[in-house]
Parts: sequence; C-alpha cells; structure tokens
Amino acid sequence: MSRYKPALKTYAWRQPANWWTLNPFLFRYMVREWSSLLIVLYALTLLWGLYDLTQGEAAWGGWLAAMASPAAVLFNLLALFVVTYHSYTWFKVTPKTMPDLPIESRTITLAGWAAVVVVSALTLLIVYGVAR
Amino acid sequence: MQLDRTTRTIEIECLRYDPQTDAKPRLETYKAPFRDDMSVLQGLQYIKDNLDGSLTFRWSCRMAICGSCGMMVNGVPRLSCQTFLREIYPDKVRVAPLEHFPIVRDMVIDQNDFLDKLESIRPYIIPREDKRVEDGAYRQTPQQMAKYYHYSECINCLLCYAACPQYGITPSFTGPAALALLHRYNADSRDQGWSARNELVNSEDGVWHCTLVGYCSEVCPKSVDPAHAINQNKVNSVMDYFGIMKLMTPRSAK
Repeated sequence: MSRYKPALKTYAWRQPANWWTLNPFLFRYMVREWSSLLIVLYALTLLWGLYDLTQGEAAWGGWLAAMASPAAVLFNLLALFVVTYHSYTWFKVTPKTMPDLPIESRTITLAGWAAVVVVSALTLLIVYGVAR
Repeated sequence: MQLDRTTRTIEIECLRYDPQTDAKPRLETYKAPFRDDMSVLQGLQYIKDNLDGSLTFRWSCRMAICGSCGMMVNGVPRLSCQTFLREIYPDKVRVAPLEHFPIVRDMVIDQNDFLDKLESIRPYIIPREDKRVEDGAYRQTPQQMAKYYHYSECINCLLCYAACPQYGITPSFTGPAALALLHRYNADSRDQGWSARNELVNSEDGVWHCTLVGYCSEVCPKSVDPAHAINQNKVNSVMDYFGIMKLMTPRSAK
C-alpha cells in the first residue's frame, strides 16, 4: 500500500492505442518485434520443405515448384529483408543483455554484424557448392 | 558554434490542465521572444513572468542535475533546461507533461507511483556484515566502485518512465529508474546484493515486464542505461531459478 496518498484531483493519462506510431524510435521497435512473426512463417516454410523431402521425390518436387512461384519468390525476398533488419536491430541491443564487460558496447554490436555477414557468406558458398 | 544573439520569436504550445475548471487538458499557444542561449525552460519562464502567470511547471537547478523539469518536448521526454529553443526553431515547440503519469496541473505530474516503487527496491545499502562505528569504514576499491557508479547517477527525473511503453501498458511494472537503482545497490560490494532484492526482481512486476525497447536508455540525460541494468537482472533471475545465484553468493551474506 502506498504511503503517498494522492491529495489532489488529477487527470488520468491514458496511453493511446497508436502509441507506437507517434515516435520513430518506438515505431522501429514495433517493426523489430513484428519481424519475428514473418521469420516464424519463413521457418515453417522451411520445415514444410524438410517434411516433403522425407515423403519422397514427388512431394519434394512439389515443394520446389511451389517455391518457384512469383508469390513464393516475393515472400522470400520480403523474409530476407526482414531477417536483415532483425539481425541489425538484434545486435544493436545485444550489449544491453550482456554483463558489464571491459569492451565498448559498439565493439559487441560490430562483432555481431560481422558474424552475420561471415556466416551468411559461408552458407551461400556451401549452398552454391552443393547446388553445382 | 557561433551564437546568434539576435532576438527572434518562437511559438510555444503548452498543454494546460486546471483541475478546478477543466474536465480534460487543452492546448494553449504563446509567442515568446528568444535568443540562442535560451532553453525551453527559460521560454516557459518568460511566459509565466510576462504572458500568463498561471502556467505551472516544476524546475529548480537549471543545469540538468535536480531532475525536476522533465517534460515531453515535441513528443520526446526531455529535461526542459537541457533542451534549447534554437534546436526547435523555426518549428513550434510543443510541451506537455511526462506521459504515463497522472496530471496534477499543466506540466506537473503526480510522482507518487514512482516514489512507492523507489521505496520497494530498498534503495539503501544493506550491509553484508554489521560493523560497529569503532571498526571503521566500509572500504571499497576503485574497481568495485566502477561496477555500480554510473547506475548511481540517476536523478529520478522520470524521463525513462515516460519513454517506457511497457510502463504505459502495465503501470504496476517497477520500471526503468527503480530497477536501475536496484542494480546499483546489488552491484555494490558493501551490499548483500542479489539475496536482498531477488523477490522483487523475480516477481511479476519485476524485470520480466521489460521487452528491451531500449528507449529508457536513449532518453536518460545521465547515461544511467536502465535497459542494461534490467537485462542483466533477467540473466540473474534465470540463474536464480536454477539455483545458481545461491552458489555465487559469498558465505557471509547468506
């Protein structure tokens, strides 16, 4: 219970439902949170492909054909953009989740971004090598 | 930077609320002359002295140390003494009380909720071992002091509460400044640390309402970095759940 009793009549401030549209920082935060939804959809699509792979050649071929449709390509491009944004914002806040370290928080962020670039490049190389 | 010493006129739109006459807040715009060296606070003082004596706002030190003059300046929580009119000119200045708090009058908010929360974190050193005065002072190395010093620079200005959308959604959330100060005491080598305040950290209204928006650290005029303090304690809270914190506590503090 509060020791501090309100002695005055006050006006109760209410947070508007569109609070995240009123400030660019909060808007970017909400986009960051929403981007995870699209990433879930993308992961489910990959899992679906993996499942089809276990169901024989016809099913796998069907999934590959579905992925070649313009809508699927558009979805993949959108997912790529969103994952890039998510990695960008994720490593930006990473230093805040770590213990007090004797290194600059900027270094942690830059190391994270560098890791994204290196891992993505390696994955691309491997996939390219396998596909050839 | 070369200061422009000419006097120009800027429009200042203030949110007004008089509990005796108004059912809800209204806006009022004033025209105030200003020079490059004038802060938003000085603009408001000009209005109060020359245009409308009823305009109400808190202030004290005018140098960003007392934490009294926080308000929303063009939608962003700022210390009005630290925000200069020249940064906003030729746009209109829009000032409003700090968001997420009940409005007492004009720019004055009711801080009672924060004061309760500040009290709930036990914002004082709970010594590891009681010493008698004759035994001398509690000693600390510069390295030990560096672990908590910047968290101790909080001036309770409440900009971080106005910045935190989670506090707006769930007012029972202990919030950025109180949790940063909680960490300040936990991180102090003279304090018992985790075991003294773990119940609050682990509770529903403790650190877990934070979703790492990070805006609190962005608006903090003292670089206290509440988001960092809170998220370090999420790690501590998880370790506590698995019984690891108990192993890490020095024997004397148990």
